[in-house]
Amino acid sequence: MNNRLHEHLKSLKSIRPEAGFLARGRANLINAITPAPKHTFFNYLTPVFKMSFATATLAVILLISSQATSIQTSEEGLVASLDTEIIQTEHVAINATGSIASATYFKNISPVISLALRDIADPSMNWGSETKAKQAIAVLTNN
Amino acid sequence: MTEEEKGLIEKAQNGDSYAFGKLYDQYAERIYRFIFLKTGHKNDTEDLLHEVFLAGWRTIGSYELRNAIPFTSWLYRIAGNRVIDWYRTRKGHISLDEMTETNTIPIELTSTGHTSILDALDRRFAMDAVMKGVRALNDTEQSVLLMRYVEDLSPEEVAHAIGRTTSAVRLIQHRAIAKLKKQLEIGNEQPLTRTS
Repeated sequence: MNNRLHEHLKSLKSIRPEAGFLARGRANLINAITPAPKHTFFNYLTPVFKMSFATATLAVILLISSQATSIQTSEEGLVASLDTEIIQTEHVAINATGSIASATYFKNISPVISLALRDIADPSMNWGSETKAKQAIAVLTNN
Repeated sequence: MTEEEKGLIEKAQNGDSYAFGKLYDQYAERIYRFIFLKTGHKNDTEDLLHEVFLAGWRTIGSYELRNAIPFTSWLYRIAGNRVIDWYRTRKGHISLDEMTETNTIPIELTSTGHTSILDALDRRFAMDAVMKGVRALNDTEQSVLLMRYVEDLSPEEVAHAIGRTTSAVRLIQHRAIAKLKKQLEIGNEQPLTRTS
């Protein structure tokens, strides 16, 4: 009797979830425990549209301020700088994928301290043109 | 515990959800079966399985690799606690018939090799009887029998999972087997037919 009972208990091993359930369960679990990516307006735009949008935004900024001191374009993107009354100089760089970086130099404050390079579209984005943007801004600053 | 499993646990503890997904791959089927055999309710088993792994993810930081509790036991303990919670809130609303008839997972009845469909049906009825018998035991006895005989856990692993000593596990196992045997003998005296 004991052996038969053990056999019957062992036979319960044949109980399994429906085919495909575990795969769906895993996907649901991963979905539930993985932090959602940051969704910003820029994430939904194609790179070309991003570039156009960013350029247009810059153009509006420059038009409004009417204080653009220079605009440089290259394969890497576009770098513009402008002076305002409050801040000494603001440089804005846009790379080919439409990511934007800006550096602000405040009046009477050391550039090293006041340099604030940031990606407006998505601060968490690891984008390759940051160095290029910095270099472009440095060139503009030296000029 | 293998080195690979240790690595997965460490990664999961550091927030790697895909490493935890691999642990899910390793254990989900066993935990599913354990929950189903205790509840007999397919849909709730699916929900409970998800809850067990979510709870595991939330608390994996507190799991200590160096202490003596095997990861398997740790997971079964979470599953056992979830089932107890489920019984507290749901058991009063579910009849035994509902559990065993309408929600039982279909088990293959096709003939394989030299086994006929009649043999398969016999096996199926025997399984149903064993499942009913197991569910009639108390929660601890159920856990011990299922972990020992269905999931092949060692007495030490079961002891960690239910928070008892190894000798207590052996005692509970002995008592549970005797109870189950008695129930099946009683069941055999009555015609074993499936109610429609």
